[in-house]
Amino acid sequence: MIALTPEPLDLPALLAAVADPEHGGTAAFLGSVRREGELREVVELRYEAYEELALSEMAAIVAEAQARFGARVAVAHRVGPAAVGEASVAVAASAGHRPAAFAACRYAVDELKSRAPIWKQTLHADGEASWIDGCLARHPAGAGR
Amino acid sequence: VSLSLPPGTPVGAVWGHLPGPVRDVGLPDGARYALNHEWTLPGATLRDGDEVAVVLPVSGG
Repeated sequence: MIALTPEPLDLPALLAAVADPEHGGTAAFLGSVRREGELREVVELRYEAYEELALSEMAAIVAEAQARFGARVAVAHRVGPAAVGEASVAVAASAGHRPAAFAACRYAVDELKSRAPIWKQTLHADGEASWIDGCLARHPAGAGR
Repeated sequence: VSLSLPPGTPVGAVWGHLPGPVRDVGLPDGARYALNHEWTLPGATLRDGDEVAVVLPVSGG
């Protein structure tokens, strides 16, 4: 399961997507919108994705995680506004044993954050909006034509 | 944005053909290119109907 959605993320659906009777360990990660009340209070984050490429990059990341760790992996990311406390990214990974499940889950979320063409804008409590400076999108040199 | 460019134009030259207000900002550091929804390099040459994306540094999650 690979999803970009404006709806609240459905962790049970991700868990169901990775369920496997041969897998004894399942790890899940939710990344949520922080208030940052001690800094400059945040009301919501607004996510934009280059959807076609984001979905194919998410599919590539899932395939890598599955191949590296012998896991089943599902990922979902929000697009549009997400309020403080809501999940913006969700990953579930199952494997034969817990080390591979944890490792696959971490790999998928770390790679997603550094590679998927998704951007976020912060809406602050004072009404101002600002784009978050990104990290460089990594991709294999020589990919494509 | 739809652009008409000479045959064989490389992906990396597309920014220079964008409308003035965008072009004048300058190509941001760390931008990457995608061609028809796949990552590519700036030297890739364009064919009729290609879709190019200039992908700025990402901040998902």
